[in-house]
Amino acid sequence: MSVEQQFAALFEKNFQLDPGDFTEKLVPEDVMLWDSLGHMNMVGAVEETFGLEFEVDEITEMTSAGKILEMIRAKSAAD
Amino acid sequence: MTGYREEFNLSKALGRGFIRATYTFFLTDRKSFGFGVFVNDRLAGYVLGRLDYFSDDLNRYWPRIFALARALICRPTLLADARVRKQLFGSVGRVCAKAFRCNKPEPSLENAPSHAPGKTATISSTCVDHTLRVPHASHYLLEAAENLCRENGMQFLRASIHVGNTPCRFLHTLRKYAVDEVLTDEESVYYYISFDEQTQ
Repeated sequence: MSVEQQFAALFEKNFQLDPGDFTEKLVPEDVMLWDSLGHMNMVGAVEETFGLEFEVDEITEMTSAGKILEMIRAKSAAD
Repeated sequence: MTGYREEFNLSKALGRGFIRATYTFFLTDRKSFGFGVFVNDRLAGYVLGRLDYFSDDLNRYWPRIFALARALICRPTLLADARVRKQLFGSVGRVCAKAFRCNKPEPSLENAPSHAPGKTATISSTCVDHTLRVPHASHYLLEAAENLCRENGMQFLRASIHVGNTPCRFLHTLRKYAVDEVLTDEESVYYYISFDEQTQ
């Protein structure tokens, strides 16, 4: 499973979306459970799944699904 | 993950009487405002703020000063805690320094982009009960505060967020708040939103 597929599945599970609803353009306004608490849960799940650790500044800049994916790719490449 | 665990809280250390006096200020002060989110008559979240700065007037609020004195008299060992002394004397020092400057703000603060005398509203606290899980509760609370400020002719709404309070910082970033780099220090990030830009 690619990073993108893995993240999409994680995203849909975390925010209780239907399979196939994930797109990189999703922003918190589009997703019922994506508020600040949901965001922290999402980041925690991403860190655990991909074995990464994000800084506070990085977490606050994750304002879309695409940006989260971008940071996962960047961090994974760096490690 | 960098989550947020509350650092030492002076108000909690000083006890319920002090906390009650603090909130009484916001309930009785004519410039203060507050909004709440309710779930089945239970308070699930609230925001408190003021259509002006609040720190100086809060620190000079006599019932709160009396509550502080009472707390220290009843529990003098509080002063043995370096964290208590640091925050307490820091606040007292700021009030005295400002009085010495005839109530003018520190020169460096006058250059802050979010500084507009009489036109900068401030958030004192935003709290949500995560166990009641009202999605986007803090978003709605902030939005209500912003609307009130806009209706009352405010130019800015500003909030001081602990540097480690990731969810709150995320919320303000999402709502397009800018960072006031002049005021921001090692412990607090100052976010502000400009209503002038929004009306353009």
